[in-house]
Amino acid sequence: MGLGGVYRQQMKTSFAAMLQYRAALVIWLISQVLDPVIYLVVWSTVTAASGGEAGGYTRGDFAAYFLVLMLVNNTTYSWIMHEYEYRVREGTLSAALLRPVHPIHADIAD
Amino acid sequence: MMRDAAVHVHELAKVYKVAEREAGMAAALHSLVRRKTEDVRAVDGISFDLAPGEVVGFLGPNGAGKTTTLKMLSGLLHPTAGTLSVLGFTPARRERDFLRQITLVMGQRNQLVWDIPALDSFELNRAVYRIPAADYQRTLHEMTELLDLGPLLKKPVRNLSLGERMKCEIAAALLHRPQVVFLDEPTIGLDVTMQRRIRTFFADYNQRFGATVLLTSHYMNDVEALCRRVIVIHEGKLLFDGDLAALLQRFSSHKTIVVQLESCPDKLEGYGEVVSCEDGLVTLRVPKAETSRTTARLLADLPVIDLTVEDPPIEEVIERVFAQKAS
Repeated sequence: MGLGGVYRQQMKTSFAAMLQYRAALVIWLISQVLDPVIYLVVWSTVTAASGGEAGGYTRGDFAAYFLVLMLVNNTTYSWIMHEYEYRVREGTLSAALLRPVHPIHADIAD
Repeated sequence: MMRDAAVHVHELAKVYKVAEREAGMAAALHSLVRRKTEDVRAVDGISFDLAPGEVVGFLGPNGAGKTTTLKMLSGLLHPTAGTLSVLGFTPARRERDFLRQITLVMGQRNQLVWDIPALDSFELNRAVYRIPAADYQRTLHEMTELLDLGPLLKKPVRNLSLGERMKCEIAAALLHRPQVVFLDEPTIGLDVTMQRRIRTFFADYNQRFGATVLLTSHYMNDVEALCRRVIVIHEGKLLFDGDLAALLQRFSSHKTIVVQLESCPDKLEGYGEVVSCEDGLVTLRVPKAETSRTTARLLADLPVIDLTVEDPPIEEVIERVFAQKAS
């Protein structure tokens, strides 16, 4: 079992932590979906009012744009720099440094 | 240097630079431009060796440099000076083969994932330490039995009591069966029963796997139960390294005589320093050389129901060691 095994297990652990609190999970899901839905509704109304197109974009274009935006945002957004600062200051990085794996792997998997 | 020592420490030192300033806004602004720092010698040239399989108590008051030493031994801090080797490795390099063979348990820190059951964290450790499935199952089974973890493993860690959590922390830290175990106050804040349980566990672990253990604790019961040898440090300097019995011998100049009488007599001062007298139970502190003479006098002069001679509690001796060195 190599680094792949560590990644697999770390992902499972992060996933388990995410699923632990049901209410928090629901709120998070709503917050993630609500944003693009509101934008989409606004732009759909605009395109409908201006005869099916706004600035050369159709309703379908807007839907695709906000969907992709949500996905890209989700996969690229990271607050790891704040987390690292906190870990160093509070001393919790020590536990990660005692392990025979670089601490960054846990965050990448996360 | 001891041949084949598991841990070798020579003239080890660690100096921290600590920023200082007066209170107040002006001082805060001033320190933004010009910072005044002070060198704090947390560890100041200590040397010792630990043989494989040895269990050694590492004692000292708060701020003596114990945790700093343990952090250097486990590779978390780079030493300022001196040489250091653990199982032949230089800890600060943090080589994987080194990290796979050691562990550091800190009573005030936790490594388990807080929100999920400990079993999930154990599984993560299995992957991180690359523990073969069969070994993992066997060790987990043993730990579960020795620490009575059965009912705890499936509950989220945050719902466990301090003692329960500590037991899980210890199990997680030992799943990979480290050869060198650094324990930094593993029983802090735990009740007496739990302390005893954890002590027994470490004694057992040491017996079974022949692991080398360096233990810091403020609970002398931990030290007495586990360690024959103790290393005492104070203000970063080594004060004593040797048998616990020798430490008591060297630093305890007095013995305690406890006498059970019918009632508290008026004149006891002639026998020694009266520590207490309640319901006829008298505790006297006498110079070691006077012990037998005083005992004989007490037995001859007073209607003694029971009499015992005890060494002073180890806490008292240690306290005296620190007090002597500080003055």
